[in-house]
Amino acid sequence: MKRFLLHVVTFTLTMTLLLSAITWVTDNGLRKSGFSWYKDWNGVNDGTINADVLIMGSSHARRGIHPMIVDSALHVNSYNLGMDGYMFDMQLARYQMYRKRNTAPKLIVLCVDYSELGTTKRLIDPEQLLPYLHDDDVRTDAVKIGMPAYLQYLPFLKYQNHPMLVWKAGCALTHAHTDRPNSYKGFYGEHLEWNTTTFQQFMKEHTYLAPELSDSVVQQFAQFLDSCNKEHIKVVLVFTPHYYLFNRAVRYRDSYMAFLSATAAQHHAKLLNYNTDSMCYNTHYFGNGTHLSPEGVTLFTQKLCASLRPDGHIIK
Amino acid sequence: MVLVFALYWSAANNRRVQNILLLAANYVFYAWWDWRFLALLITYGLVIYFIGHKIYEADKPNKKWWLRLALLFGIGTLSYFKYTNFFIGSFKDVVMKLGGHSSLHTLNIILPLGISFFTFQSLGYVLDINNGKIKPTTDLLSFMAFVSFFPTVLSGPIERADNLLVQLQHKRVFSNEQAKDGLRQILWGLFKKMVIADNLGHIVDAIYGAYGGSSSAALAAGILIFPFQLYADFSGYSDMATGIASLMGFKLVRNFAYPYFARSIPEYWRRWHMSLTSWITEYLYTPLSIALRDYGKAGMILAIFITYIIIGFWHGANWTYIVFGIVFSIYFSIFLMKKKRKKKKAPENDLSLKNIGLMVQTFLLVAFADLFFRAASVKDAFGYLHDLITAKTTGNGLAAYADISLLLIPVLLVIEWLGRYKTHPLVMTNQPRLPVRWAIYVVLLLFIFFCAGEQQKFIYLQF
Repeated sequence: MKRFLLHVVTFTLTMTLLLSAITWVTDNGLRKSGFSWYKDWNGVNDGTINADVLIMGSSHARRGIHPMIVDSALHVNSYNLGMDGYMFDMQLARYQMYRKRNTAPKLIVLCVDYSELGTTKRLIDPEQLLPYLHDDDVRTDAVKIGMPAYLQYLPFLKYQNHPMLVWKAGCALTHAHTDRPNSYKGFYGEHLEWNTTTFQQFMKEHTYLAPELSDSVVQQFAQFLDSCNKEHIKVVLVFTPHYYLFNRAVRYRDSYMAFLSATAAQHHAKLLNYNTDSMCYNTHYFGNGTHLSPEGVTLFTQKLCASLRPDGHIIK
Repeated sequence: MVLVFALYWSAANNRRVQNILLLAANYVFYAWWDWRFLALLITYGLVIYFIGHKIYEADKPNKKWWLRLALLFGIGTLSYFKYTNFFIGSFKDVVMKLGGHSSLHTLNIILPLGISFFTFQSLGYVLDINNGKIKPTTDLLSFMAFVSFFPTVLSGPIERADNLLVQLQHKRVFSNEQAKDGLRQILWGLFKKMVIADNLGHIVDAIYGAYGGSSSAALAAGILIFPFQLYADFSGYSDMATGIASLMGFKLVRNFAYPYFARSIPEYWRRWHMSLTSWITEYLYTPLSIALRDYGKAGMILAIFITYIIIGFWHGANWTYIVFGIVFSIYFSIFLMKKKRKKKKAPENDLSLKNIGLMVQTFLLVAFADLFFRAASVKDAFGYLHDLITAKTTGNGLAAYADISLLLIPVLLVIEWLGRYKTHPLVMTNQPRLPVRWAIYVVLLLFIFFCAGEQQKFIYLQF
């Protein structure tokens, strides 16, 4: 029995060591990789972004505001830190990681939408977070949202079922293959085209649309605005354009907008609401009810820059 | 599992304490899956234990009555939980087809996990007592542990009293070799289930789930892939069950012997789900064929049909399983008719062209029967066949479903071929050096760790 147990324990330890080594190599490889989300995360982690204008938010930011247009219109260095599907809490964790390693931005454009201040238990593309769980803010928030808590104590298990990530990490370390980045300064361009049938189907399936608010996230949001004030970082809250029929179906939207206005005023932030903009009535500018088409992205980013331009102090 | 193992072997000198621990582990395990039917499992054990004694003590005429009561209890319970809604639904369909109307409604019955397995295991015990093969045990604790034995209670192998119950009544001695072999078998079972079955399962689900939108090539692939998923899933479970039992010092009956290397349908059934085949052969097919022997070949064929329809129906309350059984009865009947023309067979396990041809032929026949096993309904199965035969070129081609996990099929076949003389391919008969052994374990574990498919339920868990 003793011999058997000794064999089992020795083998388990060997296996743990091997997996830990693979994890270490994968972490380091992905932190050098240009594959998918990692290029942007690596900029955050390496402290190589140092943007003047930081665009934050969910997919409405990541797929809605083009840094190339912002850069040329405002003559600044902007970067899009939008995160598909994530709400403010995870966006904040990423921002805090950014701030630890990058210089403070002069302006933050924070896209708020109906679910920005809500909370979720659903991790979107959790693979993007795996190499950065060494960061306390990211790890804490990831676990809060749904990342298995045991990964905090058994990190060698984190790449389970991700052979592709191990492969990509290996490629990055050995320079065997370089992935072409799929984003431009964090902006993810997508050729979305409006489809009335899909939109109607979506509206049929989503009969109850209402803004989401979580007390803890609202509190984090207020603290974030205060800390930006302290650091003299200007914050502009932007409500990105949504198609008017979608807006119309959202209940309590007026009270939500009032809440946002009041919060912005209380914390000396500017609120730009594009939900009453003329472009909200034209399907040409939308890929679906809440996301813009390429034409919509261009027009909206130009309009946004025009509104930001009077804030002359951000212009170099 | 680690806790059970530690407690179990710390009481190695006291068989009774070991059995108490085992029984507690059995019940905790069963309740973990579904606590609602724990009382049923306990009642089942107690009733069969009691009837077993009554059969043994009774005189000949009463013996029969007690046996009938046991069969009524066992098959009645199984029928109620598993087949009530099937019979109600089928009755309603017939009435409606005849233009009538039935106000009968299906009942809200939940199927207790493993009921088909522990029913057969328990009935085997009373049948053995009735046949004078064994004496009823007076050790209630061992018997209850036998009925609910946690490695096998959900999906077999279906154990016999003269194997497992006897072991439960004797002292178990820890064997280093047996425990290590148990771990190897668990590892091989995990690999088959998590890497092969779960990865292939998604391809099969995609093809069967949208067969109307798939080309004939994709449908043909679906038919050929499913048997591998089924085998890896079910034999994977059996390997894990057998391996866990080995860790506890038990030797279970073998359930699979590389069925896809069979060269005929009868040989396939001697290699596939062997514990069910031997149970059915001993308690159903043999008595039936003796009863019908006066009718010559027709009697034999009738016995085959009844046996295979029952095998099919045992799997589930759906016409698909009955058709599955009928297809195999046809195969068997044809085999029986052709049996007289004895041809010289190539030696078993020989990779001659003739053997390969026979293996492929047997596999294709099995794959065809498995189409009915996998389809959601008989209508779907025939719809699938129709689309396949009409050589549909439209719809998703094979490329839409194929992925790298298909390579696992040849990998499985090669590994199993190399290990075909052993009970499982990881048996280390010639004891390779430690680094070689560990390298094999590490490679398999890395595959399990990195390449496991999205978890799917064990297919046989539903039976």
